[in-house]
Amino acid sequence: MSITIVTSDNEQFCVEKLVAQRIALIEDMVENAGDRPIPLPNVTASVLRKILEYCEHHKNDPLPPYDDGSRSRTTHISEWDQKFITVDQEMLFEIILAANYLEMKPLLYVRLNVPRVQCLTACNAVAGDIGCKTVANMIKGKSPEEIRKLFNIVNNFTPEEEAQIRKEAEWAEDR
Amino acid sequence: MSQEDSRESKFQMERIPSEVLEDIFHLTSPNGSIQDSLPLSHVCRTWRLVSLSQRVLWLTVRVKLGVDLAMVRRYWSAMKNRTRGAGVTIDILDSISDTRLIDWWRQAYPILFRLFKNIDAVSITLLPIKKPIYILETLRHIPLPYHTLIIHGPSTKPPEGTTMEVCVADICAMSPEIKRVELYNMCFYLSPRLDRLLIEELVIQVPAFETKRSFIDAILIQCPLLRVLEVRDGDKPEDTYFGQPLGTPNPPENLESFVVDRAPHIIYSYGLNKPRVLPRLTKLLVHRPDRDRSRMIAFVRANPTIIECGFTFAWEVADYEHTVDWLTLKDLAGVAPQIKTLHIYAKYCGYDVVILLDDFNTQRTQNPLSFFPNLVTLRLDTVPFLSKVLFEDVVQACYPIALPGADVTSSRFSLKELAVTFKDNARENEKTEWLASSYLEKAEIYKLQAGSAWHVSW
Repeated sequence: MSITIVTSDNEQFCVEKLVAQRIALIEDMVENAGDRPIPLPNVTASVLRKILEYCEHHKNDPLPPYDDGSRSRTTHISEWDQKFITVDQEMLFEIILAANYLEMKPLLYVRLNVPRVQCLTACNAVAGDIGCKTVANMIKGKSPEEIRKLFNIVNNFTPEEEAQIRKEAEWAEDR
Repeated sequence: MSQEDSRESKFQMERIPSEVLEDIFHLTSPNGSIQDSLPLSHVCRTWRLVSLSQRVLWLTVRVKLGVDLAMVRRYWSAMKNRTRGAGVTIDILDSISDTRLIDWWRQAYPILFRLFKNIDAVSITLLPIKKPIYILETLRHIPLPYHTLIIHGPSTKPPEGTTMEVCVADICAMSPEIKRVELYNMCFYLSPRLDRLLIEELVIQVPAFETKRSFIDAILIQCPLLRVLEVRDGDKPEDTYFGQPLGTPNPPENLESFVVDRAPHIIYSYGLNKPRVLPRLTKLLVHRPDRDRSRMIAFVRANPTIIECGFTFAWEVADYEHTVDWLTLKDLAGVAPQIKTLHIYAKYCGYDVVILLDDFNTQRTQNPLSFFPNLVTLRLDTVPFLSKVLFEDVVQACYPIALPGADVTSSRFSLKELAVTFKDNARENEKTEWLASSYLEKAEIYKLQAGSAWHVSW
């Protein structure tokens, strides 16, 4: 059994139901849609194609357990997921945005509301959550200037804020 | 174009919602360390707003002794505002001469503890030149209660005439609410007065240079409320290790998790060959088990509450000679089929693990139900080095239970996680752990990254 998904740029995808059900938002919409196509006004065809590639690969996986905060995470990414997410930066963030919109926890990241003491426990990776892990891995160990350059972020601090930040950097330097 | 090369990227970071940024920041600074969190708050106004709104990013307050007090006051004030009253870890990095340390503390502690009134943990890192007496001097200035105390001693041998030894009773007396003590690279002793200590968790890593005995038996007697006891003291000669069994009739009733390198007598038997029953014990890891195989087996049999268990095992394969009469996997499976997590300590660079698993699988195939039908996690611990060939052998050995459609009836087995803990450089106590994802899929690749430990993916 398959369902039809229509992207924001009006491309239609005929998708196996088992694959589509990896996407929480679509799973919810299938019930009410009947035979009608399911519109995804916030996702372009190129991004949906990538997301369906992920769903196809993981279609037989057990769904990730509910994250009650008892599992802390590392930024480890499995080999297939690593290859999957090796895309240009624009596509990486488009995938993250789409996964957030589509409520795809593994592809995005299981939302975290964890007491700190549990964060400190030994590593235990939740399957998926590769988008945010990839970005976190890109950020780690970099200076603010390097991060700005990496993500094309404009330094929009006021001179007063800049002065405060310089002080903080000085405090932290050798604390 | 690579992800690192953003010169042509058209993506506007402003489109990333703040809740996604929060997730990214939590992954970037999982321990709330200021070194990891501060750069995030210095990138742009949005990132600053989001990072400052997440108090978990700011919960470790670093105290470097001897730094200019005016500057420290401003730094602590800023950090305090970010924690919003949440419990913090006070991380004290000892760095100046002994006399100044005390003087500096006298001036600094009123500032620090007026700002931070809710302390979860205190962590002290000592330099090699410091004597443990300064731990007490430092702790004496902390007027607020905290439930966890962590002390890191130096990994190198202290100068002649000094010792890295603390009295557990003395440091516990510093806060009325201490429930957990962690000592790394520190020697310890208990009070000669045999005071009862009310701590519930004790984790000790004895330094490699220490050759004195460890009195685990005495700990069990003196800390009757212990729920967790982990003592790692490496491969010291056996005769220097054991305290004499003190013959107490009182078993550590509350013990839930017991992790040691060598087996102390008191935990196994009371009286003549009568196994102890510890009603709450769920985790038992003994790197070097008792050479009296029958006593080990009797103890495990008498404690069916154990669901996580690990030893260095002997093997029974005809082609291989084993000289130590430790228990085998088959012994354990015979008395503890309820086990859900199994640890196997490696001895010979992983060879023994491969032999054990081969043996294990062969016998299990013949009689599957007798071998851990409830096993969920298999962990290969303290593997010094696992070559490509050996790693592939381990994977092969795990296949029958690791993958759907294997030879054995997969529905009878529930193995979901395979973990390998590498101990690639014992001298530096480096240990890198990799844990498979929440469900086992398949082995895909392994690689040795330059300058780092083995990295394994499934």
